[in-house]
Amino acid sequence: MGWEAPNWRIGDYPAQYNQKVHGPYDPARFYGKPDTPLGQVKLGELSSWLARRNFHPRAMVQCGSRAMWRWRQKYQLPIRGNACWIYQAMAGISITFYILNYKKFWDHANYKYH
Amino acid sequence: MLSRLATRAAQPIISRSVVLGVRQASSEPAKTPASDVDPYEGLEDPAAKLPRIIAMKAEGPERDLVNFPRPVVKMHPDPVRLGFIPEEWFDIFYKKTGVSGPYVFGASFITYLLSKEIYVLEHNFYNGISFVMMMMILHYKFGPKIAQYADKEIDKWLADIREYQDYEKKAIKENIQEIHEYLSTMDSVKDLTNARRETAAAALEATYREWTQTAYSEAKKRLDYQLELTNVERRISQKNMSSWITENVLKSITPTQEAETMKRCISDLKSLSVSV
Repeated sequence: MGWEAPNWRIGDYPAQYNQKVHGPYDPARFYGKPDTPLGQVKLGELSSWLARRNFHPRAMVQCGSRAMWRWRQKYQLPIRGNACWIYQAMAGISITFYILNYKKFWDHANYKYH
Repeated sequence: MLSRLATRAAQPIISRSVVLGVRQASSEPAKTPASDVDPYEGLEDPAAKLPRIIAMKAEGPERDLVNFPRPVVKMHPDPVRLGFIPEEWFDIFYKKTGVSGPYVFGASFITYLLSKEIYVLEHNFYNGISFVMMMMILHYKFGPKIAQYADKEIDKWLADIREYQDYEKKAIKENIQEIHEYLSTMDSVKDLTNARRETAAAALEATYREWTQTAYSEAKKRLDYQLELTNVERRISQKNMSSWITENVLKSITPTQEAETMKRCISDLKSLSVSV
C-alpha cells in the first residue's frame, strides 16, 4: 500500500510532470511510471498489483479526475459530438444515486425469500 | 384603543405615499466608507500563488514525442452501442463469446439481479421506463434535425477558425516581411551613420587645425611684440646715448677749437680745389 503525496499541494501539477519532456499538460494522462493496466493483470498478481498502488487520498482523487477527463475527451469534447455522453451521464448518475439510496429501496421488495 | 389613537396622532403630518415617493426619487450617492483603513490590507492575492506553468515557445531536445505525443482534439466520439454503451466493452466479449455474447450476458445479468431482487423495482424504475421512452421519442424525432443544425453550426465554427488561422498566418508572414524590409533599411541607416561619423571627424579635424593655427598666430603675435619692444627699447636707448654723447661733445668743444677746425676746413677745401 503506497502512500506518497503525488504533488506538494492540492491543485498543483503532479510531481512527475516535466513540461520539457512531456509537453503540454494533459489532465487525462498519468505522468508517473506506467504499470500493467488493470485489465491485463492476472488474478494471482492482483494483490501485488494492489500493493503497488498509491492510496494517498490526493492520488485517489487524481485517479478519478484522470478517468473523468479521459471520458470527457472520448465522448464529450470531440468536435462533431453526439448525444451519447448525455445518455452515459444519465445512466451513470442513475446508477450512482440508486446505490446511494439503496437502503431505502429495500422496503419496496416484493418477496422475503428468493 | 386610546393608545392606538395616540400613535396615530404622533405620526408625521406628511402622508406615507409622499415619503415613499421622495425616498424613491432621491438620488443621493452612496456614502463612501469613513475610515481610511484598506480592508484588503494583509490579505494575499490567491491568484498570485496559483500553480502555473507557462507554455514554452520552442521545445527542447529532451521532449519525448514518442511516449507523450501532442494531445489532439478528436473529430468524432468513440463508437457506442444502444446509444450509450461503449463499443470496447463489446469488443472484450467478442474474443470469448462472439457477437451475441455481451447481449446474452447483459440480459442474464439483469435477469439475475431482478430474480434475486438485488435490483428492487420501486416507483423510480417505472418512472425510468417512461423517461427512457420519452428520451427515445426525442432522440428519433428531433435527433436528426438537431444533428443537422449542429453540424451546420460546427461547419460555420470550423470555417471561422480556419479563416482566423489563415488570417493570423498571413499577418505573421507580413510581419516577418516587414521586419526584413526594416532590417534592409537599417543597412542604409548604417551608411548614413558612418557618413555622419566621418563628417563629425572632419569637423573635429578642422577645429583642431583652426585651433593650432590660432595658437601659432597668437604665439607669433606675442613674439613679434616682444621683438618690436626690444627693438624700440634699443633704438630709444641708442638715440638717447647718441644725443647724450653729441651733447657732451658739443659741450666739450671750445671756441678756439672751433676756429681751428674752421681754419682746417678751409685749408682742406683749398687743397681740394687745387687738386681739382
